[in-house]
Amino acid sequence: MSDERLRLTYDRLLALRAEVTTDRQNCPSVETMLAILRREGTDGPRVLMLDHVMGCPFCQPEFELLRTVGRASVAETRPE
Amino acid sequence: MSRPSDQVSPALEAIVARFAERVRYIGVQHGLTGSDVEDLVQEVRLRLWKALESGEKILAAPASYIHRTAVSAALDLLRRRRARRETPARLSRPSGLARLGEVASADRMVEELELQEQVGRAIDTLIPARRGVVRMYLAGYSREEIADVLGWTEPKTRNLLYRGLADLREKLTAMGIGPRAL
Repeated sequence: MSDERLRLTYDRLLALRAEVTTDRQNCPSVETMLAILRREGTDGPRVLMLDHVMGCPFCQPEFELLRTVGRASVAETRPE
Repeated sequence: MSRPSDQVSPALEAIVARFAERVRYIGVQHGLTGSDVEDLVQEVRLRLWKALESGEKILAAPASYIHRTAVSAALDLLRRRRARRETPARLSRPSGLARLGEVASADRMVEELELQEQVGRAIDTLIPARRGVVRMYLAGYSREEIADVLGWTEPKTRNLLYRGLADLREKLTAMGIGPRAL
């Protein structure tokens, strides 16, 4: 199976999960997501947290919003 | 005589506009929908205006102020949505058979659903160190983006990703899902 096909299938899988559950009991806090983006803490827990975030249809868009803000802010603070 | 806020408002609007442009540009790359981005920009604008009214010297350090304000605004936006139990919008990434230009029959849809479940199960059985990286890749991250988020070197990222994808394909093959699946 090609990478592209795997990605499409995974995307569909997350869409399906979003339809069948709204349970967020195991989701990390938004502060934890920010800490991941700031590379705080050790590798192991961060990878595990990202494993959840990337497999969760609710955490993923939240993480992308924070990542977007971080990247846009970095661009803003970079000297011209 | 004009008020201080009248004098700085065009400059502040220019800062917000430039920031909004960057957020929109990067947001689209990250698959965010327009409403998420616009909510964030609006939140940042409101905060900056409030700060301006309270006399804070935004224009003395606009870049660092924008950064702090934007991060804080994003956190509050997400917290509020969670408190209201709002379901985040799906990322606008290409997905599914519709993109392939096919009209799915019932049988085909069942096969597709089974495939999704099998891929999900196969990913769950990967070793944790590789699983997160594989999920990031399948979620649309490039190798460079994965390395950037994790703070890893390119060789380390490549190694874990390739091993993870190889493991995944091996597990899928064991499940009877070969290279030509669907």
